[in-house]
Amino acid sequence: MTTLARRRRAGRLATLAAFAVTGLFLVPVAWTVETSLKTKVQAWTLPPKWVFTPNLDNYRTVLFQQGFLEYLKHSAVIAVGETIVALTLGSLAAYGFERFRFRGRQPLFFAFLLAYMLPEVAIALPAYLLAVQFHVLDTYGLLIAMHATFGTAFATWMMRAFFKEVPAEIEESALTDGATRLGAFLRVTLRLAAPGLVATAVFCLIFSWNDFPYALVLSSLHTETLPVAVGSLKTPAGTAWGGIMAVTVVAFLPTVIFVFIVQKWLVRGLTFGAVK
Amino acid sequence: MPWFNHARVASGCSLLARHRKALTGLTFIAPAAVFLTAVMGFPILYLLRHSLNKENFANPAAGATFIGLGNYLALLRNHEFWQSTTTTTTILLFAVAVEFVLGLGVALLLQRVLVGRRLLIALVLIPSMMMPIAVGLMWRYMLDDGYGMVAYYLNRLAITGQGGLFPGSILGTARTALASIVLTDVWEWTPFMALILLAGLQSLPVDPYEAAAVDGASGWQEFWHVTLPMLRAAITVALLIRIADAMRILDIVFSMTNGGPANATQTAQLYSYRIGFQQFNTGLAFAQVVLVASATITVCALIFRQVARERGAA
Repeated sequence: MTTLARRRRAGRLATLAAFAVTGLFLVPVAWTVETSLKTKVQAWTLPPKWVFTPNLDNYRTVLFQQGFLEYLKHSAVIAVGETIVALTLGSLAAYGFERFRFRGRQPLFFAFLLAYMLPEVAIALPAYLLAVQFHVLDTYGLLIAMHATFGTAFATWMMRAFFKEVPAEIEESALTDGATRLGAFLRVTLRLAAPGLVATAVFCLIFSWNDFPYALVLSSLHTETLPVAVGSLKTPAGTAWGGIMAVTVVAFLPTVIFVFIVQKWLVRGLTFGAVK
Repeated sequence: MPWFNHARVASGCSLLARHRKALTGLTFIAPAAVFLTAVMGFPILYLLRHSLNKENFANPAAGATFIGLGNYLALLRNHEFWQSTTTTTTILLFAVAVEFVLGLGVALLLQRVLVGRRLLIALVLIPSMMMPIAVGLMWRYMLDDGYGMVAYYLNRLAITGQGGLFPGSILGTARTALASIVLTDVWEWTPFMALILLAGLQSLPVDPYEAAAVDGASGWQEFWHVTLPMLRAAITVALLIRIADAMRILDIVFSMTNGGPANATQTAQLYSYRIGFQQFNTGLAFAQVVLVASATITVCALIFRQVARERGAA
C-alpha cells in the first residue's frame, strides 16, 4: 500500500473514532434532555427508557411556577455587566503586556493570573463581611465586580494571545501617520483582533453564567442567580428529577449556542499564547 | 541585569525613550491593575488580618480577640483539615492524570479528522461549557442506586450492585463516591484539556515530521520523539489551568455528595465554606483559606515559571 493510501485510510478511521468518542461524551447530555421531557413516573423507570412520548410540563412548571425566569434575568444582567468590564480592562492590559517590555512584566502578569486562580471561596468569605459593612450585599454591582476579577484576568490572558498575531508594523505605520497609542490600539489592533474579542467575550459570559461560589455567598433575594437556584434544588431522595433536568437544560442551552457561534475561533482562542 | 547598557545606548535606543515606552505599557495595564487591587486587595488584607483573631460571626457581642497564629496551629492539629486537603489532592491527581491521557488521545484523533472537525470540536466541548453545579446534579441522578441510568448499566456489567465488584451504594460508599466525583470531573473537563492540546498540535511545524519520515520513523516513534517534546508548552499550560481549577473544586461536590458519606468527599473548599458559613467560625475559616490559597499560589507559580521558560525557549 502506498503511503498516501495508508494515510487516507488512517484518516477515515480517525474520523469514525472521533465521531464515536464525541457521541460517548454526549450520552449524558442526551439523557438529561430526555429526562427533562419525561413525567415523574417515566423518570423513575428502570431499565432506562430511551424512547417515550415527550412532554413540556417540566419546563412550564420550572419557568412559570417556580420563578426560574427571574433567576435567568439576574444571571443575564450579571454576565453581561461582567463581560463589558472584563473585556474593556482585559484587552487594554493584554495590549500593555504584549507590546511593551519592562522590568517586572512577568511577575505582574502572574499577579494578574492569580486573580483567575485563587479559590473563589477565599475571596468570597471576607468579601461577604466587607459587603455587609458597606451595605452592598445582594446588589448587581457587587456580583459584577467579583465576577469581573476572574473575567479580567482571563480576558488579559486570552487577548494577549490574539494581539500576538497582529503584526506590530501595522500599528507603527498608524503611529507615524500621527495617531496616538490609544488611537492606534482602538482603530487598528483591536479591530484586527475582533474575532478574538468575540471569542473572549463568549468565555467571559459563560464563566460568569456558571459561577457558583461567589453567587452562593454574595447574592440573595434581589440577585439570586441560576446556579444558586439550581444548587438549592438538591433535596433528599424523591426529588422531581424531570424538573431539575429541565432547569439544567435551560442553564446550559445558552452556553451551547454561544460555543457554536464562536466555533471558528475556539481552538485558536484557547492557546493562551503559550503555544506559539 | 545592569540597568544601564552601553550597547543599547549605542544602538540608538536612549534611556529616556525606553522609560517612556515602559510607562506607556504600564498605562494600558493600570486600569485593570487598579480594579483588581481594589476589588481583591481589601478582602485579602481583611482575610490576613482577621485570620489572627478568634471571632465568630454568629456572636458579634463576644467580639474579636487577637490570638496570633492560634487558628493556624489549631488547623494543623485538626483531623478534618487534613482529611479535606487529602481529598482535594486525591481528586486532583486522579482527575488531572486521566484527563491528560484521554485529552491527548481525543486531541490526536481530532487532528486527524477529515470532515466536520469544527462541528465535532464544538460538540465535544459541550460538557466543559455546562454549569458545574448542574453537572453534579445530573450525575447524581444518573448514578442513583434506585433509578440511575448509569448505575443501571454499571450494575448490569457487575461493576456495582449486589454481587458486583463494589456492592455498596455508589454515592453512599466512601470509595465509590470519590471515584464518582473523579468520573464526573473527567467527563466535564477532558474535552477542554483536549482543546488546548489540539491548539498546540495544530501549531507544530511540519519540518521535523518530514525529517522523521525520511528517517523511516514508525508512528509510535514519531509521537514519542517528535510530537510529545514539541508539545511541551501546550501541555504545561493545559496542566496549569486544570490543576488550578481542580484545587478549588467545590460545585460538583456540593451538588453530588455534599461532602458525604460522613466527610469522605469533603474537599478543602467545601470545608472553608462550612467553617465560615455554617459554623460562623470566621477566624478559623480565614486561616484555612490562607493555607489553601498559599498552596494554590505555590503550585501555580512553579508551573507558571515553567510556562514562561518554555515560551522563552520557543
